[in-house]
Amino acid sequence: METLTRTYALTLEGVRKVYGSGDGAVTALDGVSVGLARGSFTAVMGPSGSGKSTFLHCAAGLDRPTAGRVLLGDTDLGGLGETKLTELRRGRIGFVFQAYNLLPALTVRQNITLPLRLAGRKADQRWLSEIVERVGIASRLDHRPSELSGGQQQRVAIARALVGRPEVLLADEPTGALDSRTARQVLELLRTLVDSLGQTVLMVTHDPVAASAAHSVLFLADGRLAGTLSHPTPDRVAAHMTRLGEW
Amino acid sequence: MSFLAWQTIRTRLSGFVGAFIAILFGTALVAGCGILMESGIRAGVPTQRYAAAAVVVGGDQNVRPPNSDALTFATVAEQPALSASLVDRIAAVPGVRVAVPEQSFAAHVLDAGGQVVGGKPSLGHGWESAALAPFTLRDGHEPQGDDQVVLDAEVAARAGVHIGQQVRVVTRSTPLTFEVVGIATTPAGDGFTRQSSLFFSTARAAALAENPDRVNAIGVLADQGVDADGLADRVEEALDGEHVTVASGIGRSSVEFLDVGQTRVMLMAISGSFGGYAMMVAIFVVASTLALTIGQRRREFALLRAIAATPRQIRKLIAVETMAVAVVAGLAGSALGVAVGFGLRDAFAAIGVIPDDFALALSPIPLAAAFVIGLLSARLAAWSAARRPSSINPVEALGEAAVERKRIGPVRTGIGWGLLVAGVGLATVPLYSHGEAAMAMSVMSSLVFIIGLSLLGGKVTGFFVRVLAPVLSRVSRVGGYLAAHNTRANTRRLAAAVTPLMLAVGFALVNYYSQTTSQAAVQRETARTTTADYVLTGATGGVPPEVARAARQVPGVSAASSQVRTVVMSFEIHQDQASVDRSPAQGVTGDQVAGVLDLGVTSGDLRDLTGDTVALSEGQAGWLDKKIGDEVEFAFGDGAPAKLRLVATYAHDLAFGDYVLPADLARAHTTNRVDTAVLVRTDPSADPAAVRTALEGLAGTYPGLSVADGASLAAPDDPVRQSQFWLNLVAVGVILGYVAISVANTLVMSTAQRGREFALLRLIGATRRQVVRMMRIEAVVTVGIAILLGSLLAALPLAMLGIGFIGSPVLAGPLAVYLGVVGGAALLGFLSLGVATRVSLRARPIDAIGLRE
Repeated sequence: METLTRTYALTLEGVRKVYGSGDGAVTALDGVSVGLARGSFTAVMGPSGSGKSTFLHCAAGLDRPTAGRVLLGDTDLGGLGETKLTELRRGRIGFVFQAYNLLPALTVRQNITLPLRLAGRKADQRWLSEIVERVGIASRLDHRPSELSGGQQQRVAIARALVGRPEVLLADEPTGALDSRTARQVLELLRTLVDSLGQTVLMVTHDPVAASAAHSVLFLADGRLAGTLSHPTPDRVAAHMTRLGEW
Repeated sequence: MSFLAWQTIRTRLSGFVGAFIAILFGTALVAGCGILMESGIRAGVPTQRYAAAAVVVGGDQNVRPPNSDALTFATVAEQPALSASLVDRIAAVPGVRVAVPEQSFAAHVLDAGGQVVGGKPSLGHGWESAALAPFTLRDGHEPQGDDQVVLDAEVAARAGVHIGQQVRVVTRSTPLTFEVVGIATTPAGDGFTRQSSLFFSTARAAALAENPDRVNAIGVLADQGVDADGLADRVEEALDGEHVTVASGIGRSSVEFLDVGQTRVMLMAISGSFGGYAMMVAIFVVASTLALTIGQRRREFALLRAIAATPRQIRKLIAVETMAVAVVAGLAGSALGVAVGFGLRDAFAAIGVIPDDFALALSPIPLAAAFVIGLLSARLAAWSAARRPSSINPVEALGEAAVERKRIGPVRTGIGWGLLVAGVGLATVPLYSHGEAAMAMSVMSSLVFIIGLSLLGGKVTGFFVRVLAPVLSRVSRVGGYLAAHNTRANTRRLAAAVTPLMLAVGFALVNYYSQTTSQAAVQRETARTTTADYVLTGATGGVPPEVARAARQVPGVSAASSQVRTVVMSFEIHQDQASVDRSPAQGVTGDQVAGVLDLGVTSGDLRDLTGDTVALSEGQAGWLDKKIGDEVEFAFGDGAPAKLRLVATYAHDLAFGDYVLPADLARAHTTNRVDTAVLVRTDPSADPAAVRTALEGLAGTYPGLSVADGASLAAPDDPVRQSQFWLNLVAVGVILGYVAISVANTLVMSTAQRGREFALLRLIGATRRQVVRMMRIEAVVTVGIAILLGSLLAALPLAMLGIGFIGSPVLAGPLAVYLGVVGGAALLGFLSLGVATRVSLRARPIDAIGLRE
């Protein structure tokens, strides 16, 4: 265990999630155990209803497991109240969603620094200019989200997720709303962050191309782990998915 | 499109709740006013004295200027009489068994202690008219000689008198003594709820009424089996050309009770004007609610446009959806309207605007009309709300950003500024005119401001936000910062929330304070005008005419004038159009009035006020273009035409009205032909206490007479004005209630729309409290701007009204009401925003962020 917490940024131990009760009960996750190594880029794939989203929600502390533990570093999320969880998310987890990532009323710069402001922290200007440089939106800081393209908006979302130096960056279908060229640029950006900054990234996707940008792919089916794949390529990911039956 | 519309309604029921509520209550309000209007046309109170008469003929209740059309008339303010000679012509009509003339005059019984048996009007009649009720003798016999009287059993019991006893009765003068020879009852009971009845012999009644050729009414007892309405038509035909009112059924009470006819006319007027207000507000509210709902579905319409729906089809879709909701809401609203109508009736009765026993008439007509009006307003609102989304560019709208566009068209801006300028113009009317119309213009001015401001929408709120935003960010690092940016980026959304709240505040303030200001003005002027030291009033609704003369004989009295407060009908005749308006008037004793009232005579001499003469306020004289010596044409309160020579003009018109008549002339045209009061001025050298004692001594001769200080006249007992005040409060209150519902509606809807925004904030680390605080600060901004603008738009018309009426822009009236209005608005705003925010936050953020917009 000692070694686990030191090596793993995020650990799920026998996580089980049941929605509802009695006859109407639905088991979304059925005893999933996973450890995400620091500096790793992991993709989670699976058919609809496989439990991908529940997996991500439990990992982020947005949903409480029915059984099992979720550890961020060595913090057990199960023991935390709503406010503590929010503070933990704010300080140690970064989020990127499929769409609607930005507050329309704020400029790009204000959107990026918003989590710091919520936490009552001052922005580290060197870090800020580094990440906006890296995600490639340095020239757009005073624009509003409505003036950006979809790809640019996702870049801003990634910059915002990074601004608090999170231990884990969680991405939920980050390329789902983008065209393939823009999607590739965003994926390349994520991969670069992992490789050069040692950022840990967990990404849920249903796109084999997107999944192939990761170090490894976890497959989920019916709430259980259904295999892993290291050094994925789109073809191998697709082949694995086909074996799972549907996607 | 109707298939799609139906599907949308079924799947997005919650999106239509706002529009449903707006239409529901709007229809209910209009239906309630409709019921009052119908009741004004055909309801009334059951007749009492004429229950047995199929048809009643009274004096003409309507006053018309010469050469006017059928729609130009006013209702009499004093009971009109008619010629006794008509009895024979009515009796000759087929189906009439007998036509009975009825004399009617105030006659009060005194109890053993010499006190007036009051509590309700008490009227004397000739015994022959007892058949109209019908009154029958329970004991004793009918009155025969000049000194015999029959009492109804109820008043006899209250006075404690029995057959064979002597009883003193006050009519217009000193008490007379009669022998009680009979006790009469009606089939319905011992007496009437609205009046006491005394019966004298026919000859004595005619003598007491002092006008044997005129009668109060002629009742028609019909032959067996004759239809009352048909008989009424025949009587009307037979009396063609006479100034009479022929009534049957429920209408008989209009002849019997002056207040019933007035109530009916007033109900028609009120329900007309407030129904109109309610309709305007309803269209406004429904339109803004729909605009909000439809704005939230922008993307859906863009999608429809993208898959090749024409703008026309989008408009059709919105129209069909709206109509489907409006039909259901309208049906429910019409039903609710019955409750509104009866609720208003009870409220009006409670404040004394309409008689307690006035029953409403209920038919499907007003409900159906309200339903149709509701549908039409919804249709109009849908049309206006559908213009923007139907012309949406599909590509643009499918984009990600949800920030609104800033543009407001130049036409809209132009109209907005134009209305603001017009509002300023209207607000200045009270500077040069003092009537009811000036007050109406003040209220109108505030409404025009509101519409202008709502057209300018984001522009005005945007200005305030630019001023406020930096402050907010400094005050609160997270909540204030976010609120500042939200309000700055979405000024139109803010404006949509501010406008109805501002409307409520402004409307309430102007309506309330314009009334208190004008009341204060009247009181001030009354106090300034009254120079009398004592005021004599009676217990029977008036003072006998000779009391003024008697007061003048009291040692130490330097002047004593009758005061007869009444109403005249002023005519205004332009080239081809005539109009008639009721105008307050008073009768005074010309050679005495200078001592007791300072009317501020500007030309002529009030001492000439005798015979067929009149004095006018300067304003009225100017308006009618009359100079001293000219003849002024109008009608007295009972509808009789007047053509009087102008002998004086005066400046102080707020307290006692625009017309001053000789007391004798004014009195002759009132119902009871007595003085309202006697105003007395003492000689400076006389001992005031002695004078007062002497005046009080007059009560020995004239029972019920009481003496009060002249200052008591400063707060004129003016039930009409008072009830008008309450009436406005009730009606405005109802409309405000509706506006409040729509404010809550708008705020809840525009907040619920922001679920995704809240979810995003929480996912990136905002605590629930931070989001709540952000919304609380936005609520402060919204409510603050609404209260500020509402107060400002009320302030200008009210200041002008104040300058015009009391010479000072400082408002009269309790500050507590202002604080109440502001507090109520704030509470409404905070509650609506707070509840909606909390409900939006209840969803798990990760679910909420995925929701469709």
